[in-house]
Amino acid sequence: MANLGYLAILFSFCLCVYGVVAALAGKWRGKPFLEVSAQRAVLAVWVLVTTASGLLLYGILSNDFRLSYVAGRSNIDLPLIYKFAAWWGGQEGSLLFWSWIAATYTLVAVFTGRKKHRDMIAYVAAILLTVQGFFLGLIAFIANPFQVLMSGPNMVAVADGNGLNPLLQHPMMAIHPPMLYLGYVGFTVPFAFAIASLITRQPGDRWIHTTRYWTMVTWLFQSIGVLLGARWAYVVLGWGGYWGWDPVENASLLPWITGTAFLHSVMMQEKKGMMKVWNIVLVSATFFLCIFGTFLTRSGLVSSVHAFAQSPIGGYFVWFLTLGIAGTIYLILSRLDYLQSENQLDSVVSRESSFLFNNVILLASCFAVLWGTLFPVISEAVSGEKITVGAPFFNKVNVPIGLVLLFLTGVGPLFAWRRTSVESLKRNFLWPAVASLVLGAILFALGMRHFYAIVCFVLCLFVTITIFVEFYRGSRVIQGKQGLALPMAMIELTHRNTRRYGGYLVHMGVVLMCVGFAGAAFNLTQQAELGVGDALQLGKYEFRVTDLKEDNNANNATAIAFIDVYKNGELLATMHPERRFFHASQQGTSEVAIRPRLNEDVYLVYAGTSDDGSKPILQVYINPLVTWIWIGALTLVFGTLVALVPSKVKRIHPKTRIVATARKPHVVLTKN
Amino acid sequence: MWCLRKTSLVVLLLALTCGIHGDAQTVTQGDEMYLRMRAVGDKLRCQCEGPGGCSYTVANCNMLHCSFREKVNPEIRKALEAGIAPEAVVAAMIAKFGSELRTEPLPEGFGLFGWAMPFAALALGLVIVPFVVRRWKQQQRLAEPERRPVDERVLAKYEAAIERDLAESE
Repeated sequence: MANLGYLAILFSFCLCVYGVVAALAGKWRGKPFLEVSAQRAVLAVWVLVTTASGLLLYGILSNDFRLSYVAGRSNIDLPLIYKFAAWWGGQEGSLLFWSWIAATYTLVAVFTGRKKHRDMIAYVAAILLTVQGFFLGLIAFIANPFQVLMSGPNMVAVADGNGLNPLLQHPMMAIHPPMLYLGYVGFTVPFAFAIASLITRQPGDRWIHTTRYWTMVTWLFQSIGVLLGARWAYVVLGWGGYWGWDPVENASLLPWITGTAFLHSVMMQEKKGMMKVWNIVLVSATFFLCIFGTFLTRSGLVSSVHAFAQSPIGGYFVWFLTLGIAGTIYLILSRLDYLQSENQLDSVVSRESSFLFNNVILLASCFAVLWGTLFPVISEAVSGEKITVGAPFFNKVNVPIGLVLLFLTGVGPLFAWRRTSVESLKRNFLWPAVASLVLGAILFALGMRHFYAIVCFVLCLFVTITIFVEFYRGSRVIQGKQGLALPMAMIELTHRNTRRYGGYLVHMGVVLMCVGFAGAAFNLTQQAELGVGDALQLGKYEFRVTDLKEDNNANNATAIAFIDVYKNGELLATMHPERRFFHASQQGTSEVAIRPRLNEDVYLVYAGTSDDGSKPILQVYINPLVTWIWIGALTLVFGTLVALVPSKVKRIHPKTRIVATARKPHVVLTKN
Repeated sequence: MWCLRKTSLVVLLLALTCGIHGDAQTVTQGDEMYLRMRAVGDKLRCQCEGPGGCSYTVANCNMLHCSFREKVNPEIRKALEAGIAPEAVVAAMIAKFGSELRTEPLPEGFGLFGWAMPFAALALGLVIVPFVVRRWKQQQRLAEPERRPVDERVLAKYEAAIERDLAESE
């Protein structure tokens, strides 16, 4: 089985090389059969990588501990769901998982785009196969998941494996990595389309629509992956928070930020034929940041709780990144004439400018995260002293940047294209601004003194009102014309322009998440050693230990504390945080107990036992508004799904150009 | 003898009941020192995964039996109990275990550069946008065709039509 799996990987690597050569030769020599052959190579690569993945999964499920990977990542008593998770739980398996997703994406992208993008699909296939080949090469020659522990006539497999890392044994971990990988790998597709369009100097806008659509799909996966990661950290890691600014967390955020910037600025290209160079740079940056993130996780360059073990593959990533970035820069520079803007900006106070500012802020945020992540390495290289940075640095730098971004989320959609008049500004901004400032004054009067939290709540209300006003105005027009009830009119409005109103829903999701983030300013925490009958008072809550139990199963031993939670003397719930010890890996974890509510979460951690072993040590957290983060996350996902639905009314975006000016500039519409 | 035993048992049960009852009355406000230790731990980066740390702070690292946290926490507690100020405890821990414990750069030397760069990048971007807009507008003026007089009524009519089309196209 090991040989068969390895052969499948080796053949798929060879087929990638063949596919790239066939696609390029077919295009350059004008031999269509070679292009078709390259497309079939894509299919064959998918079959082979799927076979290899299936064989590895079979090895994990059948407890084939002759395989080094299976012995290191699984054990007999590991629950079935986590046996699947063991596929991506280690370096070699996760690279294979990456390759399988890449092979699937390549297959879908090539076979759905071969008619629509006939003249550039060969380049798309070549680029996708190059990336795919790089990863398959790493698997084939550096990180082989089919490495056997021993061989020979006296071969005896180990009795049991080491098991999966206990922190990964959580249902969320069965979903979070696949989602993140779907995002990471998926950004290769828009990159391939963008580069192929550059090479072939694609006329028209069709390729940019395809690129945008793929970016939105992968951005959705990346968003879900990042948010599930935050949720996993909250419910599994047990430190009371959801984002620790760990380098690996940061690595997942970086391409998400540039992808977000692209999804905004691409509108400028679609509607006005502007920012073409910038958009290519953003798509490329997103892809390279994905590769960089993978490199960061696997090279041991920075320390992280999430990182895979240090391995020799880092150097190959550096070469891949260097060559890829150099090639992209060369292509962009050689195609500057093709990327020239078709229009110019009219005014600083316009929708176009708001996109520019939005991109600047997003890029500044991306730079701040990247800078902080790499600062220890940079400082050591430049000054000889390794200056470490942690969450406090990232929070201090990113919170003000994030607030400016939140402000732009509110004002951007209210600006008109081309230029915004003073009357329009007054009409759109006056009441949202007044209401928000009133909220700020009320919060201050109520005793809130946390500056950033007040600003955040004020901006959240401002953006919320502007979004609701947008929905309300549009719905009223439809209501007037079609006589629909307001909720139905809102649905009709959204269906007519899913992209615009789906985008507003995404903005609303971001607002709700910001409400949750602001709640962190008011967190409470305490710790105590509590025996049965003892109680801890924190805020309005009292936590009384009623029982302590122990349990033991084949996978782990568990100590459970049963805690009655009272608020103002009234029993609210019985919570039971746990502490588990996993037999196979000889490692322990805390299983957090959470009572989520819209106003605040009660969060209990069984942190340890007293020195004499008689009492559990309980950490109690009161985390206000955290639930809004998850509600916001769901809203964001829903909004993105809405935006992916085709609009009922097919929109053609006429591009504008100035043909003459009188006292006031004026324009005529020309369809390109 | 039986009575003595019975009395002893009753006394023991009573004592146990009182003891348990007494325990049940124990309502604590928690470990005051925990909050002070947490404040210090929040300013120190945990080193439990070897050089560079696990990227969490000592206060937030929740790894069971984290070797570094279990080593450093008693020292922090001891220092705080001795009345040493939290800032001094943080400085002492960094002096003892190395500068890698810092969670943020010092605002001096290369550390200051670290603080300044993200904001400098943001400022640069914010300066560049109006510059780019102005430059584009200049280019636009240069590229404008010859101006010719336009009737105000015709202009108004077209402007209204454009506004309508743009509103629909959004």
